[in-house]
Amino acid sequence: MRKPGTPGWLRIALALTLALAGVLAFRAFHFGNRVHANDEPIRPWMTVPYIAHSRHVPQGVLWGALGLPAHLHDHRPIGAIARKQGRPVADLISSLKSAIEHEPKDSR
Amino acid sequence: MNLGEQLLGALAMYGLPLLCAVTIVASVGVPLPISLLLIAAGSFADHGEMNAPAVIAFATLSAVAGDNLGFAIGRWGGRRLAARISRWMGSEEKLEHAEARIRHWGGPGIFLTRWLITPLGPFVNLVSGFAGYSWLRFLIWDFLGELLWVVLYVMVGNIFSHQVEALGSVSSSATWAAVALLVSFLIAWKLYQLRRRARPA
Repeated sequence: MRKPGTPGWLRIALALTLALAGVLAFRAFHFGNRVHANDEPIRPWMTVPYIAHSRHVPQGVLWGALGLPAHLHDHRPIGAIARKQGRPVADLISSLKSAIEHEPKDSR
Repeated sequence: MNLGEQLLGALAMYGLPLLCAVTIVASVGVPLPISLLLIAAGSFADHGEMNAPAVIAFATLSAVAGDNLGFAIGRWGGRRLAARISRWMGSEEKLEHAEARIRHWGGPGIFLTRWLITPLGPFVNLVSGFAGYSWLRFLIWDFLGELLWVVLYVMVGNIFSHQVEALGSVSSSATWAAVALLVSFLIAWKLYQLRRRARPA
């Protein structure tokens, strides 16, 4: 039964906002668990120095995989490198993945 | 690529100038994933691609500049809006009461909307200017809150520097969860007041 003085829509709004807060907190917790997993996929916005550092691979190996000489101060994202080379970015990502996999673990 | 990824790519290429420009625009109220960019800047600093102290200094100053722009718009462009709101609220008196409340609670509100419930920041800037809140107090609370926000996100990005996208998702979900909790609290408070008023004396 509806209590006097407390509109039903306000109680529904409270339930909805609390549920939304719960869902968002769960989402934050879920992504928080992934932070420790260290499995971030290679994305078009990433630079070669970023990928080299995060995968513990020498930069030269990755530049070589892209068919480029080592550019220590080149901060272009791989998406921009792909556009410049006229290749799909997926090709560059798979070249980089292959170079990372073939790099001996003890050198990482 | 989505907007967040495009901005991350642009940040990698253009560095601090891009970060400052996006921070100013986002602080005025344009919804851009600025927390994600700060995390990325912290990560790039760990990789030697950006300089952490410079990121903290310039991002804080840019955020403060954008907030003050919003405050100025509220202060000097808000009178016509005030007339409309007072018509909507029913009387000048109610508007003055609301303005007095903002002046009273403004400081902690400004501080918390800089780093914890950031989506409300641009709105609070406008309202603070419009309500005649002291500019100097606004500047002090704003600077402290923005400094905390920037240092927090840059440090998180710096420490977990291999997980930029996951951290961006954590921060945006946690921020909106805080907003939803705040709204829940306000509704619960309103319900409590209504029930108390309805109870016989």
